[in-house]
Amino acid sequence: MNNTEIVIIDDSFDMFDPLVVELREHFPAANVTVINNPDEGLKFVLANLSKKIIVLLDYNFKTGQPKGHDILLKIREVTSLVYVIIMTAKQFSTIPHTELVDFVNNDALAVVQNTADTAEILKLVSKAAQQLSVRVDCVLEQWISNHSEDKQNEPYLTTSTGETYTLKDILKEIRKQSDFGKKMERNIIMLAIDLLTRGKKQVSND
Amino acid sequence: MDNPGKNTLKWRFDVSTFRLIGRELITDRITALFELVKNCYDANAQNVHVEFHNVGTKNPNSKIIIRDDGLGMTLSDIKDKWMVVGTASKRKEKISPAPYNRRYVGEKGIGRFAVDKLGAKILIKTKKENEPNDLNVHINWDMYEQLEKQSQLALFTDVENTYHYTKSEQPSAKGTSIEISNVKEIWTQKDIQKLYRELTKIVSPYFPPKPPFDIFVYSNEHSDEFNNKKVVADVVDYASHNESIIFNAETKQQEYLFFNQETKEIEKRTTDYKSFGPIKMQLYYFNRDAKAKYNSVYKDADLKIDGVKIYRDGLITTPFAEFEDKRENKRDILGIDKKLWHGVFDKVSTREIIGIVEITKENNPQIIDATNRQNFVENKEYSDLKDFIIEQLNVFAEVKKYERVERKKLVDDNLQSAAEDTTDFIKELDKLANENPQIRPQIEQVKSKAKKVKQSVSAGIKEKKKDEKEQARRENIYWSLMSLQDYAAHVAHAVRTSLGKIKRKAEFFKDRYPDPKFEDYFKQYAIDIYSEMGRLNKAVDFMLSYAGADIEFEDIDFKGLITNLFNEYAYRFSQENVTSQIDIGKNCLINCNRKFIEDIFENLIDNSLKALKSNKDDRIIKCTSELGDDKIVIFFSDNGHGISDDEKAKIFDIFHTTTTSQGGAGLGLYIVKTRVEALKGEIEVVKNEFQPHGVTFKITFPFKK
Repeated sequence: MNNTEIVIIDDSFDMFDPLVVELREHFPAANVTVINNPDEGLKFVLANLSKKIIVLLDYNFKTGQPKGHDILLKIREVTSLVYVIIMTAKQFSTIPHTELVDFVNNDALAVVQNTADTAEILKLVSKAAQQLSVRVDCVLEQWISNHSEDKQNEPYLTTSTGETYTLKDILKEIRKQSDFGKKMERNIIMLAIDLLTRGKKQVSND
Repeated sequence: MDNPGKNTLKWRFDVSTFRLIGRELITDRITALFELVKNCYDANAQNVHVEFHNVGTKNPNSKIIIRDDGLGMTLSDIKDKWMVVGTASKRKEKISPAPYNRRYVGEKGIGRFAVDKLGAKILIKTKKENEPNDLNVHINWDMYEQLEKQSQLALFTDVENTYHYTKSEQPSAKGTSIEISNVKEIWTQKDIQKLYRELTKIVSPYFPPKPPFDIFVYSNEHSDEFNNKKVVADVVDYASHNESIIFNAETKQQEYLFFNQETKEIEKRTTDYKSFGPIKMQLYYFNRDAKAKYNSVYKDADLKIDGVKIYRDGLITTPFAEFEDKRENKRDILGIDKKLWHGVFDKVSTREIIGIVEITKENNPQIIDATNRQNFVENKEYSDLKDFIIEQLNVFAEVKKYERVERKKLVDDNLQSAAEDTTDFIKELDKLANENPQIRPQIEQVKSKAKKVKQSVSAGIKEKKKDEKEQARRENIYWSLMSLQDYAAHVAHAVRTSLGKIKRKAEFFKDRYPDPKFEDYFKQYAIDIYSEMGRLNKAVDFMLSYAGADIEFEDIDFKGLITNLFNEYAYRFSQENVTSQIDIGKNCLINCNRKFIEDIFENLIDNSLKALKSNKDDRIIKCTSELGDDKIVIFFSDNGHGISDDEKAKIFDIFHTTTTSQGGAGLGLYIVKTRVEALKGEIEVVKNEFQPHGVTFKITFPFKK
């Protein structure tokens, strides 16, 4: 959970909320932030894209402010890496169909009632954290983001048919789940397993 | 070339996505077909044929075919686009290639699953221009059904769909045909008619797209009606009013409608272009008689007049392009029906208006499709466009109001003259009897009948007046109840938010108590839970006041009521050094609910008292009024700390408070607003009367002199 931001974008929360306290207890290495204003929340997320981010996002804000749905779409315009859990005081049946579809199509990890047990929300955050730590594209993107812009745009791989890919291209292909991307994803995992089973300690413990 | 079953294709998504998109979203077959036809539009087709074969009964040879002359697909199109979910959002180009320049409308990811709704076995036959072969892809949804029933984990994507090529009979042809066999449900003639009617909405009846997009419907069982019948919108008939507005590109003037109160007629006036750019609009209004006629003609139809639709470059914009059987589920994107109760008796609804708004890519670039393509981007221009459309509809609301008054006047006049006529008639009879004593007995008989008629008419007039009063009373009650709809939604939301907070804190106690590490939190949470309970209690009190309130309306001496209220506060005012000023004009009677008015001003005064605490001295609360012809405007001001611009938008929100330390629950101004609205009034914050700081509320109530 190093370098992880857990951000609650919700106008009914403050830093002393039990959920914040419990999040800090459960994820001591993560940085927990509460932001009441949805626009500022979005700004915060976009400014921290190089980190691992888990967002707990309120569905409804005060009059005149964007809704959680809008914020999710704005996040997704930029990245699919951020895990978003939608919280709402609304009855699920009153959320418009189209928005629910958008939640699925834009990879909202979960939609949860804000009267849910803290334990339930913690479980969802753990799930997000777990997925963050093992997703190949996440690991790769993290790795790429640690390199200079030049390095990121350098051709990295040439296929037998002569197409060249930069690291970013590879990442994009994995995200698109193209044939090439799927193959790369598989190869990266196989390589990792290969390294692991060679009996040499080449993979560090963390 | 023909090698069926040799090659396979797989979908790229999982079972849950399929269920969600296919089963949950597309709840009916009409939407399913509608989506498929929209996909044809995106493929630059000029002609689409929708064919039904043997679908009237359960028949192994039943088939639905959707065939177009669009671009067609290659194997990689199928693989990389058709069989992947959500490719639409990743589509780079928003506009299809020239000369079509069509804005994509199909919701990719939906059409394909829509097919499943229609039948189990699918054959897609597709070909690009000048390709020698047709590509044939077979999909059998039955296999997916079986897969879903299996207990062990199986991936949807594991199912293989076969494809093969066949030699094309017409190498120059292009397009795609989707042939659905084993049709799941029976399609009656009525079902096909329903689909036909939905399809008429795709293309604008006035400014169809160029090149054209024509749809033809065929049914082998009802070939008398559907023999490749071209889809053409019905001429709007029976409307009582038909108005169109256009713009002048040279003078850059936009027409708009205006109801002239003098002549009682609708006029067209012009103004500068609005922020959203020039538009054309065709509006049909159905007054009471026209609506009755329309409904009797279209008795069985489910369209029942249809509201306003927006067409861009001749094609319906996506938010509206979907079939919805149940009226209450229809998305009212322009908000025509939403706040209907604000003028429930005179506003026009989507059941009285057919409207067509024409926008273009070129003229209205700021009306932008939202990324989810369910609406337009909520920018200033779109908001202005919505307002503009509603303003045009309001013209018909004026017509409606005028006609209602006229109708009433006519009935009143008729009744009155009937009463007078019978009186004259009786007088004439007396005269006649005097002149002809020999027929007096007969005349007396007629006279006694005439007297009875006169009594009935008089009783009728009386009864009618009583009814009118009753009607007005009901209208008022209806108003206050309707405002409860919004109110209930707000309160439920706020209460749940509050409960969420309490619950999390209680849960923390349950899990962590008595861990000394959290000692400070325990203390804080106990206080929080206590004060949160206080808020809930206030909310419940308010709800109960609504539940128990006398919702009758009465004529109230406004000045007297306000003066009394201020008098009740006199002690507190003197305690807190507050000067009060009332300047309400000559005595005026307003018909309203006493309790509501009291709630409004008590809360405003309480609010001011809190705001004045920051003033060292010179604390003023002032209430003044202005009388108009049909409204009373009240200004309520104090010279307290005032409201920042930032806060202004939110002060009427439930549970919004800046005075938690003084026990503010965030309900006061919310109550004020709901009460004002329940009395058909409006409230807003205007420039503060007292400088340099303070607040002024402007409250407007309808009023009859």
